[in-house]
Amino acid sequence: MASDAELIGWSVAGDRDAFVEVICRHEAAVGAYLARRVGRESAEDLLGEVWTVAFGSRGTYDRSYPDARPWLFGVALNTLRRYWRSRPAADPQAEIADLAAGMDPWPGVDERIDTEAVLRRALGELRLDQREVLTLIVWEDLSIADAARTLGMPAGTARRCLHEARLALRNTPGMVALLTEFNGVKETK
Amino acid sequence: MIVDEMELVGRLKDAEPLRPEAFEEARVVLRAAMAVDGADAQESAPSGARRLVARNGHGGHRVRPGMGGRRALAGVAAAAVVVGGAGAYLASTSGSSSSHSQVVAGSSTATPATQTSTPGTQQAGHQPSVRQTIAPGSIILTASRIRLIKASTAAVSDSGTATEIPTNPPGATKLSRPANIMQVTFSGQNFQVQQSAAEGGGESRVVDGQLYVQVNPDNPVTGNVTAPLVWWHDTAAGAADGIVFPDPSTLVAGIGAAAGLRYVGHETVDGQELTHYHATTPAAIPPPNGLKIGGGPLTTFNIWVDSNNITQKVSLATAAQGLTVIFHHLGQPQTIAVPAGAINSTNPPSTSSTGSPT
Repeated sequence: MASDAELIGWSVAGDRDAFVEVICRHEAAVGAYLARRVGRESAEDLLGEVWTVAFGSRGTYDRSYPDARPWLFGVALNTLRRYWRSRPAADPQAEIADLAAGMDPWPGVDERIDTEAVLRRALGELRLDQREVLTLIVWEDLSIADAARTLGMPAGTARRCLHEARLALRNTPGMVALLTEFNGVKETK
Repeated sequence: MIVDEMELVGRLKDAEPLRPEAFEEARVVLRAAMAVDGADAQESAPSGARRLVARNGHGGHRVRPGMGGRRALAGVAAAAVVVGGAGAYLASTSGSSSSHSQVVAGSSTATPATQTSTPGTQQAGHQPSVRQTIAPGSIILTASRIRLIKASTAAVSDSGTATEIPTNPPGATKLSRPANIMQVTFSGQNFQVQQSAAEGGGESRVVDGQLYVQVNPDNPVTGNVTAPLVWWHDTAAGAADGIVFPDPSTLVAGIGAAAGLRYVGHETVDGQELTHYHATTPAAIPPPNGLKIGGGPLTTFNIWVDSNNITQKVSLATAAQGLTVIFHHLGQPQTIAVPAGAINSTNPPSTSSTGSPT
């Protein structure tokens, strides 16, 4: 089976079905990536834009990487940044922190469930790069190296971001309580 | 086992999954972007779509000259009326509203037998499992998607053939006459319309802005086709004005977000799998040029596009009339010739007074 890199190469040469093949391989993962960050409805609306942008920039793909998923996550993240920036101020979901690399929705997410609320609040207090490295690894099952590719940063930087993210989470009061609660329950069994 | 912060964060991993049709829609958007990009032109395999782009360059399509001052006639429908007899033609040129009702006849269930040979026959090859789970009416085309679809159709060459099927508007009682299925061949501004046998089987053509009509010289007023038809070149100034056939590449030009196009599903039309969209607010769509029908604003508008987002079928209706057009052979060169032996006259030829066509 051809690698993503090969397919993208063929796509650049004019075989457009080759690029569709790449998309089909990763659409579930990229769709889930979007849905985790903006919800299913917005994710559905953004997915086509992700493909369009990816198609337009396929000529810049580094074909030394056989797997295109991290690259597609990167395209999706940039699409999300544009999306967050475009949200009207009156939109409750647009009440988000303006981080260095763009807008970020985490503080505004659902708080209906206490545990989730604590987790999300803790995530929301992380820097975008810290949070993205962490969630790319935990949610998207990427390696540190692939997360670094997604974010366009050296692997060493991603490793540092992950370490900082974990440290910050552990020290968040709500997370401390959660960890104590979960591990305490475990220990009593 | 100790629960750490990574595991806790992992508990937020679950998200509501995207619906299967969303993936399909995203691919539609991608294919539209591909068409805009003109990627087809780089391909060497002789698919219809590739030939199209090769003929037209990168996404370019022939731009018709301004057609201002056209009468608001029913385009092909008006031309088809002409075929039925000069009486109908004269009625249409005397300033009446669309004469399409004169050829609207009967069933909307007639199906053309013509096999298509259209561009866009490439399929993604990954969609059947998705298509089985499509939920009709669940996706509203966003403005950005509509823009892409509009842009992508610029790669269509405005030549091909089409089948026109007058239909009853929704809820209307079916007319008793058989459907007048018209076969149309078009190339740029030139086109010819072949009436169904039920309507006399005559033909009309518009070539280089000139109108040519087959009429019965024995009875040009009623159009009773009992004698060999003769070709009449209507030399009256502006005779062909307003008689046009829609360029499929411009059919969606009038569709804005206000139309509320909803994804319906995939349907096979003449052996080709098409994506069907339905307008929830059809009144927001101006009737496409060349497909204007009488009866007020549109009450129904459906459009079917292929995998390259090229319009392959359109169906519209007002409170009074309906029309469905199925395109075939898009982009394939068509020749619409000036009919030999046409009688040049500002009036339809008649033998009733002279004994021979004049």
